[in-house]
Amino acid sequence: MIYHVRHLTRYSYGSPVDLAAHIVHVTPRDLPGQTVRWTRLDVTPPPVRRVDGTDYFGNLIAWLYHEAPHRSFSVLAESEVEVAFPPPPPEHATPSWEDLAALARDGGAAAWQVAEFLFDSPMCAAHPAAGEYAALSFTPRRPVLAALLDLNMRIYTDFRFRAGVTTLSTPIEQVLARREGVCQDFTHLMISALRWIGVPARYMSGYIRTRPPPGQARRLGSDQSHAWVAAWLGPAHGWIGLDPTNGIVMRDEHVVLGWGRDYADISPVHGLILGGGNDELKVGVDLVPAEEWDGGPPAPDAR
Amino acid sequence: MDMAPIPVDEMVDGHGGVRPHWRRLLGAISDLGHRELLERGRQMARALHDQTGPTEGAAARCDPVPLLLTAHEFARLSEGMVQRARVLEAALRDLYGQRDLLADGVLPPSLIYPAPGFLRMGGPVAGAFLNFYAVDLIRGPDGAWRVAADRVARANGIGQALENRRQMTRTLPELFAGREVQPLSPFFDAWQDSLHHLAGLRDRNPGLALLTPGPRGSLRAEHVILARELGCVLAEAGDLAVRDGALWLKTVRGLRRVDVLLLRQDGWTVDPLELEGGSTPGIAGLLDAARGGAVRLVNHPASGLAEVPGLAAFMPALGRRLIGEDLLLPDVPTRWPARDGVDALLSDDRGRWWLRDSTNARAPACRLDRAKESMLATLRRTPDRFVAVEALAPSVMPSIQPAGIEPGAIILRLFALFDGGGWQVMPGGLARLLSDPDQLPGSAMDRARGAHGVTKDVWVTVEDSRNLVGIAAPPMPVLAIRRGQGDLPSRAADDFFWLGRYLEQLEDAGRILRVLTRRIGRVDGSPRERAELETVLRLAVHAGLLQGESVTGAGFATQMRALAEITLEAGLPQRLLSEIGRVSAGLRDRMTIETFETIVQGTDALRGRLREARVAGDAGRTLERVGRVTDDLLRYGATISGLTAENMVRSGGRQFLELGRRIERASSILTAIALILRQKDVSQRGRMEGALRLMLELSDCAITYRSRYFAVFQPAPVLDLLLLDDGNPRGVASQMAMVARALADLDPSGGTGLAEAASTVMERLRGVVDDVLSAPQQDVAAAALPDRLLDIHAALRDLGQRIARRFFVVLMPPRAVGGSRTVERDAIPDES
Repeated sequence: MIYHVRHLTRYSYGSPVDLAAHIVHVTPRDLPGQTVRWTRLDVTPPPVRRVDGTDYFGNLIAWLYHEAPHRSFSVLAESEVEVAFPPPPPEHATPSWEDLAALARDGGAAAWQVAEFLFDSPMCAAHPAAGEYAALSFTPRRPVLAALLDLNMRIYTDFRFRAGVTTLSTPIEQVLARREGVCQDFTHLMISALRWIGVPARYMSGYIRTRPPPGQARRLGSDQSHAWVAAWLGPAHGWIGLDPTNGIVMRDEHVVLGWGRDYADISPVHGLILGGGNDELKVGVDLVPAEEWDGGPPAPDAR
Repeated sequence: MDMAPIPVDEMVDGHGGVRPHWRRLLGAISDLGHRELLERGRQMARALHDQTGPTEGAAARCDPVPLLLTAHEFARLSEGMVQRARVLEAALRDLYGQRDLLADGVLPPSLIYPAPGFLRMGGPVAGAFLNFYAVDLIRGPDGAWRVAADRVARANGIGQALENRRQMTRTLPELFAGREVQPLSPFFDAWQDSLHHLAGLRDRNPGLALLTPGPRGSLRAEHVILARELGCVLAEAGDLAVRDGALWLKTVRGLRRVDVLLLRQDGWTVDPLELEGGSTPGIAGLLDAARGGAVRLVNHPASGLAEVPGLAAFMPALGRRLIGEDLLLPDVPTRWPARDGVDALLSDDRGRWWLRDSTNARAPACRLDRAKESMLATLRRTPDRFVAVEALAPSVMPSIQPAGIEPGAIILRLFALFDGGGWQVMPGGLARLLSDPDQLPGSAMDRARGAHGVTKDVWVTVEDSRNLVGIAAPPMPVLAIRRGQGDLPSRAADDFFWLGRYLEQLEDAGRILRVLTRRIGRVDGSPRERAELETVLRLAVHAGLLQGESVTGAGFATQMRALAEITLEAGLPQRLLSEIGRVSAGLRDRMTIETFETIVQGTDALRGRLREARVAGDAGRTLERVGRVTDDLLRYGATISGLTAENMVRSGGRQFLELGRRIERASSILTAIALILRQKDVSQRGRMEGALRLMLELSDCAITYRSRYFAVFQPAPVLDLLLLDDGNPRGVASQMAMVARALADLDPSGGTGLAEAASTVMERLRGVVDDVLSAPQQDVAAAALPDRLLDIHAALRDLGQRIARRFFVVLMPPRAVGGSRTVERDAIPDES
């Protein structure tokens, strides 16, 4: 599937901002199952200094610096991305979750890289209550993929998608108690549970298709940037993407921007500004099949 | 049951005899005697207090008995330390690069990934991670020194070590008699050279800065000493900004490049854009600038990873793997329960072990036998979150306590630097008495407590020439050329400006108080005296000495009581003295030691005298005593002025102090004249004379006036003396002349228009005096002046604000947008 992605972030400031420094995570990266055909990043006003590079996790980022007073700041990222993530392996071909947890914890040649995603991070610590919720899915000796798919589906069924009831700092207990939230909450909940259990889990940032395929319901979380989970299945099968907000496996409806341990590692636009006040933030996301895109050809500076 | 092991005594050998290198020192100590040593210790504490000024809480004091190390002992320690520094540098290089140590299973991932010191940066680190390094050592019952902690993020205490040596040399020369103690200053010279070499510049002087969190906290003195010794500008995050990919310091003459930045804070706080950020301010984009090569960070903030406590259990393996050597300096025995077994640990004598977080050096440690069940449950579930550290009994040595000479357990910190070619260890160090047996020696909590405790100078003695073989004199690298750090940071300029204003406000308050205390005691109730007193009270209200207008209409007893209140902490003099102390502490690195000591001793003494002046329930006697303190307040102001005129300030702060003082002084004279002329019926003959006398008295010009005009008081001559006569050092004209001089120094081209604004003020004042002089009735003309004078006063205030905008506007703390950087770590106290 080939998608056209358009992600606009626009800040309007009540009073001028004199100095600003931002890091943006809005350019999708190449990875097995995902090819970025072209991409471009437009920043208004143009920064005095822009550095393109990668973050610690290999995600594509840009440092943007502004040194002249400005009243608005917008970042428009546009890309064409081809996705075809492989189907998940048969459940019984994956190791039991107990074996997988032991392997990951030991590190060494097989797991020293994935071990990073086992440990507490600033926004996402192993959590006993989340672990207890997940324990129903992680029955003794169950193949890890079976347990993961079950947990993914249970979160989708047990929790209600509702914007505005949570913020970034809402604790997991509250999400668990109220059984509602948005994609970030469900993703953090699932990661906290998996860290308690000992399965390496990543926070995935990206987009989900805005309009569903014919005959299917509109996906949740499609008008903003989206978040979901990737879990490790062992050295033979690597990572699998699981979207607890929609109860599905990542196949061809998601486009990956990148990943981290939690939201803080990969927030789309963050920065430090001097001045401003009464800021207004507007975010718009479109992810449509390329053939349905009528926004015209890519601009000349596309790469 | 095991017998508790007996700690080593630093002074005695294994057979109960005194070790040879201690003998002479013991002789000197017993010659001086306990009482004398106690007194010398107090002298050092006072000197240290005057040095550091009013920081929060007391700083560590220096005990008169130093720790002695033989040259041989020191050589072995420094060899071991250099070896460790090489291992840690290589480990950092690997862990932030290939990570073979993880892939090959030399280190478990659980020691690295969860560590707060492990920074997730966008891009590699260029150049060496470590420029300086320190170790905390304790000597166990077997007589061997062992490493309790590696220090790379801060390595504080080196400034204190230097200060201790200075105090010891000055206060206890007897102890040094007849022996050679290795000096410390060559180490600081080498350190400064290494920073210059790091900058790698040929065409200009490198800009060196030390990033400090601000004037508060017990580490301020440490930072000030370091900045002074290393020739760095002491800068706060608000003084620095990344622009155009480089780091800049905002100074009164514009932005100045910073090529090398010394960091003394947790790595994750230094760049809130790229890293997590924390409660200590950082600089957005700093890591980006460092990667581009525009600035060198020392130590690199990522090197804090070397402080991970669990590494102690893996150091021998790291030594063999990374440099192919066995370590000469072992760690305090440390177990890794995930490898060595939880059950084995729990079935051991639990009192022998401390349990501490395996990755977070700042987390408090706890004795295993006192660990709560919940902690043991966490240990069983996730053993790799902990390490167990053996509770060694540290060696003891004597220290001078009020009750006598008492033995105390000690920990020793040594310091080293990388000069580009190799490591050098400072021949000396900082020993500290371990004051709290409930803290693991060398842990963050122990250091935090120790920051206010007792330290000791450390001597490497050259006693026995045979022992000298161990230390070959390191070849000195070629000295880099050094010059003074030119421009004043805007923040420091702002502080000088305010110091000047506070000093002047204090003097102004003193003058008003003097007039008040003279008069309030002997009011005879004549309407003229009554009116004058009311005027002075109004001035006192205006100056902030008294609260509200109620005082001015109130009865005599109420006024007395209100006036007695000024001795309280909330009273203006106390507040001003405390502000003067606070601002001076921030400027400590920019004054001569003598000036700083005078300011600190003066504020302390005056605050004490004000407190003592208060006689509960007796306003009359309180005021009598306040009157005497007032003279001291005025003398204090005069002393500081004198020192300022001499050589108080380095690098351009004097002009700002002058500007603050002079503008404040000129405006207080104008206010006084305006308020006095506002008296009811002032144009009446008898009233005007009293008003003019009061003006002269308040501005300290009565004697000058009488020497020119004898006892005839008329408005024009009085106003001329107070406003226009630039031969009168206490008048407005000479204040404005000094303002003009300072502005000419700071802004030679006059492009700012500030000098012009200052001369406009003088022109308007000349107009005022001319009008009075040519008026048919001077008294009537004078009585009409207050509004004009207050207008001119407003212009003067405006000039002050324009100066502030032109020179001081520092970068405000930026705000975070997007992201989640509201998550802050728990605040942990400063540590030594």
